[in-house]
Amino acid sequence: MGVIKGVVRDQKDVPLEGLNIIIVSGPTHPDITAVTDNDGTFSFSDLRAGNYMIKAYGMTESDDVPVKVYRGKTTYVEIWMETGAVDDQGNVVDEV
Amino acid sequence: MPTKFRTSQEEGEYEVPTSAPTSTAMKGYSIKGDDKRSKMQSQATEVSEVMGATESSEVESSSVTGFMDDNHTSMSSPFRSTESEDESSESSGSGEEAAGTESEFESVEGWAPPEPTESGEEAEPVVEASFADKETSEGGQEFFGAIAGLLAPMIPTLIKAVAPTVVKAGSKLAGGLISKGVKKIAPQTLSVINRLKALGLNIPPNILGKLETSQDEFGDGSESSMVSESDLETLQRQLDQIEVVIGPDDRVQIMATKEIPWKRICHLKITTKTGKSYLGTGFFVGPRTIVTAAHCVYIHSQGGWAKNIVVSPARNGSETPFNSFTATKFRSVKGWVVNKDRNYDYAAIILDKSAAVSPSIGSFGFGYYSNDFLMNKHLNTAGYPGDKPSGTMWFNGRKAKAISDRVITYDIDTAGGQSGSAVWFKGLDNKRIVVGIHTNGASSGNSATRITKPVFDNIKKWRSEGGDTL
Repeated sequence: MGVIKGVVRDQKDVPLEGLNIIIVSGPTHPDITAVTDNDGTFSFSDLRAGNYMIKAYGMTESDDVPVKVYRGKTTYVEIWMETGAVDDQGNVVDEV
Repeated sequence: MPTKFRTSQEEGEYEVPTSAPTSTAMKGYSIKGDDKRSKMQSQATEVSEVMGATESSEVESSSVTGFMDDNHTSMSSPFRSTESEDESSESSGSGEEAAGTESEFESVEGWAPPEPTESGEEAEPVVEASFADKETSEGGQEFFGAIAGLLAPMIPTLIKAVAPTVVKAGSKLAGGLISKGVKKIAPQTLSVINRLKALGLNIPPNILGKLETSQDEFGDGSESSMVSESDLETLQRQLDQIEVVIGPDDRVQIMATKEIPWKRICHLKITTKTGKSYLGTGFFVGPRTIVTAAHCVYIHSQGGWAKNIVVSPARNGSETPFNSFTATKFRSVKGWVVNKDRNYDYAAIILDKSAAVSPSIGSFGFGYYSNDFLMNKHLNTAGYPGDKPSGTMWFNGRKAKAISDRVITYDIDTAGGQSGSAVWFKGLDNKRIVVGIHTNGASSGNSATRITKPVFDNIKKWRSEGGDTL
């Protein structure tokens, strides 16, 4: 079995707490939601080797993030979420 | 703007730079050295027995025969209950009688039962018309181009996001296979083609011929020059995505969570001994006993037994109509705790006797049945998926697509957070009987731990441990 450990941050590298992380596709896996801690970290264990897609949900949601899991190993993933406001053209507007 | 991310292995550098942040943003912790992130049987029988739920619960069912294999040995969290295990009256009876032979989906506003779908041969002609006359086309471009024909009417957004890439990668793959010189197909390629076929593509005879013979012929690497490993991996990953989202997501939100059966379903907030948080689902089987997935109460990589779980029956967004209870007593079995075996992924949460549980909540019945019986049932499930607004309950239903000794597989839409949800059927007599505990998502089908005789016996025991009265 393999493990995914990760961290979610905003564009300024500030860890994001309280986001739901789920596995949206891949080999059979525990259908549990991981919640990011105050340091933005999360973890999934008891995963079969294979190609997974994970996704973060909060005020906004991430794209699907591909993560490859190897037997007996831990794969680390870092995700940067768009958290700024969006203008009329769909561009993220940084806070001043 | 696409989400930026990067992944890496334990001892290595970042491995997948796809969409990696710009160099100025690459301020993530180092991978090497002090890694900060580390801080961060056939037991189906025709005879069934039902254990009753009352209005306070429904019905419960079990078999006459069966055996208790060692993996079903019950295990407890350190905070083992000390309450007396007084024998409570149980309403046992005939499962056949309680369950009947017919079932129906729950009636949920905004949700329509799925049209019957057939697997196998009858499901294939989805795109047959689009390329029945193109089987001999050069390069096989139409073969994979037909993916767009399959997906376009179903999920336009998916087409926009994923299908073009698949078509491109698939076309390259097909081109390599069909063009001159390819006599052998690698197992990885076979897997991809079979998955494409399972999506409804009508595979041309020349490819099928290769499929039938290639296993024996493969071995000299003749395919490798035409299909790269990375191309295959990309296609496999994209297929994972397509297989999950294909077809409409017809989950509907349950608004009336205070009604039966929804009020018996609980939102779980799990805190591990390492301080990590997870979300799951559980359901009442007795006044103080909530059944869930074992991986919700015992997470191997996070110190084992959970530190505590906050149980919120009938939660609806920020509302907890029956209050919330913090539990520290858990039960599971050796097969999960010791052996990490998915087939034994079931557990219970025992609420403390001081918890003021409303007697009006009641509980689900549970039972075990034969394969044929289960295959014919309309299965329902509801829980708290992590891809929906916080704390909201969502429902879906389908018939099972496969039954094995210990697992029920189905195409019911679920998402992370629904682990531990009841999978139940509703008889025409309005009795609801849980036959599985949802545990796993997968591209090939979501699945539940099947309630078999040993599972039934453990749940019954745990129910008694919680006490049969409030």
